[in-house]
Amino acid sequence: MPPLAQPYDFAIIGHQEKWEDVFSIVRQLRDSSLAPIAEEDIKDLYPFFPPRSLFDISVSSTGSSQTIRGKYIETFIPPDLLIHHPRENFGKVYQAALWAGKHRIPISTLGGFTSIVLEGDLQLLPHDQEARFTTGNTLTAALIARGVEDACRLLNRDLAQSTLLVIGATGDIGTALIHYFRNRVAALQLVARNKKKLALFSERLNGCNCSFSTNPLDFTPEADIIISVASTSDLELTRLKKGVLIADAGYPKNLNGAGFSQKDVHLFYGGMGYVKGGYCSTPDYHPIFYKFPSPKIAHGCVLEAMVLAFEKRAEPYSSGRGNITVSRMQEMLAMAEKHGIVPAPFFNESGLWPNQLFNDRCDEK
Amino acid sequence: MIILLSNHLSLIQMKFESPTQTPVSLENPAVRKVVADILSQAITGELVGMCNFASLVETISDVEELMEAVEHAESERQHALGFAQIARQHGLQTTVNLEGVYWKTMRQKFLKYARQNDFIACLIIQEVMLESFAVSMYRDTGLAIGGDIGKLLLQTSEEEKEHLEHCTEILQQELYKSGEAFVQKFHALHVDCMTVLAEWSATTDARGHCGVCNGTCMKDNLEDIGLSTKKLRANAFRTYAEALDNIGLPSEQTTVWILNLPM
Repeated sequence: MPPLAQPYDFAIIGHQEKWEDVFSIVRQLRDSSLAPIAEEDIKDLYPFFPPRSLFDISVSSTGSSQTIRGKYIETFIPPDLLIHHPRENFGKVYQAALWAGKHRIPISTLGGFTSIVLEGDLQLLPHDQEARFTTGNTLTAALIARGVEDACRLLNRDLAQSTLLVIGATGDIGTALIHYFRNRVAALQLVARNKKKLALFSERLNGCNCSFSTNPLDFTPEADIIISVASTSDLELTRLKKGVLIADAGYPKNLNGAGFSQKDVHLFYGGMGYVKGGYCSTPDYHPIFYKFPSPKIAHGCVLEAMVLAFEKRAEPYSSGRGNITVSRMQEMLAMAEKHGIVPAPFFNESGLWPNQLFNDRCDEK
Repeated sequence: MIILLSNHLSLIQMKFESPTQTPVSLENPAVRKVVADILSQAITGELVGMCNFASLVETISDVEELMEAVEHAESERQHALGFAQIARQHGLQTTVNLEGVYWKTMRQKFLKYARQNDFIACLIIQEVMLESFAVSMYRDTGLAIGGDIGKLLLQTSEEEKEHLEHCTEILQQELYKSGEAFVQKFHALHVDCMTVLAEWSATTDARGHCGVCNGTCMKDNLEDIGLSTKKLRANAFRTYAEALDNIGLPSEQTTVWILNLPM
């Protein structure tokens, strides 16, 4: 495969979360004068595409006059196989990484589920090439943490008096968030699937008011704040404390269809950032790939590659599991802010939070 | 870690490349019909390839390329002979019909460009489009059928892969030399020729009976050997997409090309 004629600064390796998104993409790409492809046929064909670039992305920094260019590499992992098919998905992620390497893209981020497939172990990716990879988890964790702090301020909550429940506590992002909040909240409640891992992790948090369980419902009645960063899409949270603040930052979204009343909870999608200088795609698939309340919003993991490209730091900034430190989260957030990449306004499936001016956190009209 | 990874990859490789442990039973009449039809398509396709490489000779000025084309024509002839021989050994009745609607159309398309002395167009049709389908479909059917027929199909798939690889370097140079003009030329050929292959491999025949299968369309009976038309076709498109990637064609465009084929 010959290298690209023009150099690119970064790449995003990604996937679609829902079949409906795949159908939209195919509809957009197929000539409207042709008979549409049946949804069942799309499901048959889609997984067979080799991972490849679907569009170019350009991003401008507001802190410098830089504009960087990137590629979006679609893995073509079928959305319904995201969670329970690590072996098949590993092959797709590996091929996508090869694509980035062969095109000499200096830094690529593993968007969404693609880093979970590797459990953050970048050593599993091809390393006989110049390309470097990052999971993007440091910026994601930093944006979740900042989001919770800002939401507490917006809702007049005292974080120091709050009980924080983290679902997905032993994952890379969950671990980072627990280290971040351990001295900032009154009590920590940790939930993960593996009881042994949880017990070991809790032991390492000595001196901290902390309890753990494999069942989130053991803790929901007491939790003032919930951060959900698990790899599941069927989490049902009941017996929630009235007015609880929830940051759903999982892949796929953990709480879709959870069915609780919006009046009783303050739910936002965590780990999202806002690019003040804007970003655009060529061809323009922005509306079908990024269905957010603003075209300037993107996932933290995606934005980490852009930040590293702006900073000319082609390095595996986020790698492995449990390596994200509070100081690295702060450094990453500071680098991002330097280029106008800031926490996104609060939003969820219903749109922007109603009690929030859009420019509160983005400094824009 | 490297060892672990290579083990992991070889497991994936094995999963896709090992022929089925138990060959399909040729005692079963339904299976015999499907296998005979697969071999009929293979023989006819190889003969079309042989004719195409022979016609290609007229478009070539470079002596080494000329010899290579003749060698490829001979190799396609050998493949056709091999398939015919193994069919005879198993008492399978095959049909060779170069006038069958899809194969004839592909041959006519090829000849149109050969008459224009368009070597690059001929190379694209024969060595990228037709060989992509051959490499992929021989592999899939070989794995499904197993036994000596499966082995022959897999071996032929590997040999056809060499044809596919042979053209890549030449077409990379063309892309480097002509840039966007080459991309446009490739796209025009894709619309002209891949449409026929997409119709040929579709679940329902838009152009009626292919003229090669005995009686009913074999695509309706692929399940008898554990295959599906959809999977066979999707894998062929994947091999084609990978070939386009290897040449260096922009995947942003080629993905759209493929999604606009008859489905």
